Amino acid sequence: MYLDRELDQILLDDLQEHISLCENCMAFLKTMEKTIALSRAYYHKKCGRVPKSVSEHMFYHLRIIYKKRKI
Amino acid sequence: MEQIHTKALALLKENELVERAKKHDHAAFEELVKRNQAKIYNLGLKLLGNKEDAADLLQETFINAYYALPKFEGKSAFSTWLYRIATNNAFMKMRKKKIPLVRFESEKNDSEQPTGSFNIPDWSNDPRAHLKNEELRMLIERSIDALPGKYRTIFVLHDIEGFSTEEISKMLNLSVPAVKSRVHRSRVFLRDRLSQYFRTGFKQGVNL
Repeated sequence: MYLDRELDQILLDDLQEHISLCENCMAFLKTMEKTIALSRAYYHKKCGRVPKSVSEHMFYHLRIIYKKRKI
Repeated sequence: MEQIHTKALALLKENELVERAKKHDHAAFEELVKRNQAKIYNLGLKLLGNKEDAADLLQETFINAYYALPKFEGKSAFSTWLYRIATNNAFMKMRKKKIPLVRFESEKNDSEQPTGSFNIPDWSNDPRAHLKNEELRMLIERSIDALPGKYRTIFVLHDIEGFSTEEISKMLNLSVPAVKSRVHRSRVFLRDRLSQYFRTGFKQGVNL
């Protein structure tokens, strides 16, 4: 919740103060942020456009379904 | 219904296309497919990990959406509704492949408490630069694969796709606290797996 800034402002301020003084919490938080950033980068690299053949195959099947529904 | 040119369909808003598609305007439905196919295909890649399953998921999702369209009430964005169909289809595929949906392989890494101090190496500001390290890329891939299916799904929807916990709770029929808890546990699980890298880097060797 802290990472997502979803906490009440007073609690957020208290936590920020604690984290600035606590080496373990600071390290934990940094590694959590890095985990999310690395995961985003990993997925960004993995994703891309839909291959043309995949898209065409899907539209082909959809059109068969349209025809079946008309019958 | 008055037929309009495909190019004109591209200018219509999503809700206008949905209304036309509900009245059996196939061109309007196909415009919705074109606008959303990359999102669903990429969601498939993220949840199922390979191109073949992502292609199947894409096709099944839009076929399901076509049949279910009369029930779509427009309470959420069309794309959010598609994500709901797609995640249900992904869960079915995971079940078929015997991928655990909710149970972690090992609970030992699930501590919600900080697990000690880390010597964080000097990280580049650009995480993409780190992914040039093939070993790290593989570690991330294996770590994500090790997440139970429902946790991976919630992590992807929240931290990668940017959906709010409220949106995910509606999408997956879970309570908001359950979604928050699963987001947190997924992050801790992945972070504990990656902590080997955080601590030592790969030059000193990482035991996967």
